Amino acid sequence: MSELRFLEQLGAEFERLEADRSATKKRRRRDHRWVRLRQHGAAAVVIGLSLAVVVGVAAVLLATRTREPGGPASAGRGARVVFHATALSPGTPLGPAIERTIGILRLRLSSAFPGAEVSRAGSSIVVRGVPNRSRAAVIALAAPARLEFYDWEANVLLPDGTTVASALGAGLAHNRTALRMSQGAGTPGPGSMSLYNAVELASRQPARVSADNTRQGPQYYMFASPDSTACKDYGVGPGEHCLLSGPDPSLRALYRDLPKHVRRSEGQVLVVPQGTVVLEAVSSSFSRAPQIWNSSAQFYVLRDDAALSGNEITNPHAATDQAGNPDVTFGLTAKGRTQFHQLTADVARRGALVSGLGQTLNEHFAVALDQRLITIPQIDFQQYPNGIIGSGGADISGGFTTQSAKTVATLLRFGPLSVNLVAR
Amino acid sequence: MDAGEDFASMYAREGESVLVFLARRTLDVGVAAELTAETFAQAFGSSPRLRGRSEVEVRAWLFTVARRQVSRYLRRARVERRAVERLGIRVPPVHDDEVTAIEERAGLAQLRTTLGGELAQLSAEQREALQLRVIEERPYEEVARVLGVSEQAARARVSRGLRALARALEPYRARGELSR
Repeated sequence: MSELRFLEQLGAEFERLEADRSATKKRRRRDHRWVRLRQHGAAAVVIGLSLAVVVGVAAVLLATRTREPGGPASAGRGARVVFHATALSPGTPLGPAIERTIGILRLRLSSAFPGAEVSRAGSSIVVRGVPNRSRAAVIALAAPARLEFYDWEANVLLPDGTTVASALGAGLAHNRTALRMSQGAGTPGPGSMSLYNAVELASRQPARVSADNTRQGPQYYMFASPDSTACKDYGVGPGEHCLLSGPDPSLRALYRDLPKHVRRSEGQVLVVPQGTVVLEAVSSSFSRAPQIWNSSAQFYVLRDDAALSGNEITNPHAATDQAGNPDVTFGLTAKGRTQFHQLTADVARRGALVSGLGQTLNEHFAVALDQRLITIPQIDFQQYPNGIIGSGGADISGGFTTQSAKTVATLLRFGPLSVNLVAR
Repeated sequence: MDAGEDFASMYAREGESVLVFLARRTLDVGVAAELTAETFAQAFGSSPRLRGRSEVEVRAWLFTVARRQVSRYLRRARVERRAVERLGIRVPPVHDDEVTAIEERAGLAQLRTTLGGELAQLSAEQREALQLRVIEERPYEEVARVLGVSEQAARARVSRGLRALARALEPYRARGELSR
């Protein structure tokens, strides 16, 4: 084998395919044997059925004895986690995307759970053979892992739908909210809003389709009105909307994910067109960030013009920053370095432009993982007037623990999933 | 493939030579890497049919596929990724240090010097596109920006220029100076 890393990594992809092919063959052979047994005659069918009844009863008895109420089914060899898969955008064939996702999941799980088995069951993916009480860790490793870098001020929207950069233009009196959003590090604060308000603002934006969009097609959300029975059931405070379903890539998926006791007529559907994204504000702790449906979560609306995506990063691994805090460091591909340089140069140039009269206003870029802002680093335009050449790679630190930094590094190492997975 | 030889052994034996072959034909390591992935993805799909064939036959088959990929790339100005996408292969990136290593193995520096002379035979439009992409090795986004055209148009100019160059270089190939 050549010592070129490219050829080595491409070879690993073929090895994965070969392993999948062997597993499929084995499965087919097993199914085939069962079919042949049936063809041996009526007697064989009767014996087979009797055996099946005995095995079935035993399985039900065992499951009844070992299953924890409300928790995952526990088998003798460990827990079993089932994920329902949906396409990332309508019209994408689900079958090949599920197969690709299974390959990536196997790689992600291989180091933490060497005995894990990942298989397909229709439009679901089943993970077996992981230790009991590892469900949360398995779900964390089944995150989509879509990483994006945005020019923060050029993309984040003020409540009136204009960008912060346009409100900070040179020579204009700085808009107070824009200034605070620019310098606020993406944490909940001025300019951040509830999920409903963010989605409502996003839904009023025109479609902006471009090659830099990270999401194809619209995203659908369904909310219940404040003080409705549904919101009261969810324990949402008075005067607040609550999320019933979404974000989903199609109306059909949105309705399918609706809780069984809620009728469609109880909800308000909001559609965010392609070219705009709703991202959760930076949290002080990555692993304890509030879930999207939590009423304490805050959001920002951005134009979806990503400057750089996770496809351009190489060799991500968990490390620590200069202060000893856990972070994730990675290199960049040649294309990624060019994009990173361009991004930081644009940010630095704008920072120099808006600063003046003794006031220094460094501008920022944002790093988002799976629709959640991780960190908003600033670019010191005096130190880097022409941006940063990404040859030394980059690191992101966003309130990680050692474990969550390792998880994020693993997610990024094997690339994003090709489908959305929801644990059942 | 000989009976008993699996795809992995064949890939280990032929991977580098196919990559170098494609780098010399396209003068672009990034494109060559993608074409290599597509070539082996097609081979993977056909591996049951290749079983039992000799090494020489398999190599001939592989290079025929690779040559077809190059001609499609030059004709359409884009890399075909049909088999790669069907199989769900994630094509790994080529790192800078590897680009240098592959260029050395393919002798691209010498090839580029020869090409410098031949560039004069091309139209100004194609010459400028090739100068930026092949000689100066700038990314397509930058080529497009300098030429003031879309990235797709820049790719088309480069591939048309390469096609014209391929015709101009036929005499060298015939003398065996550029072939591998």
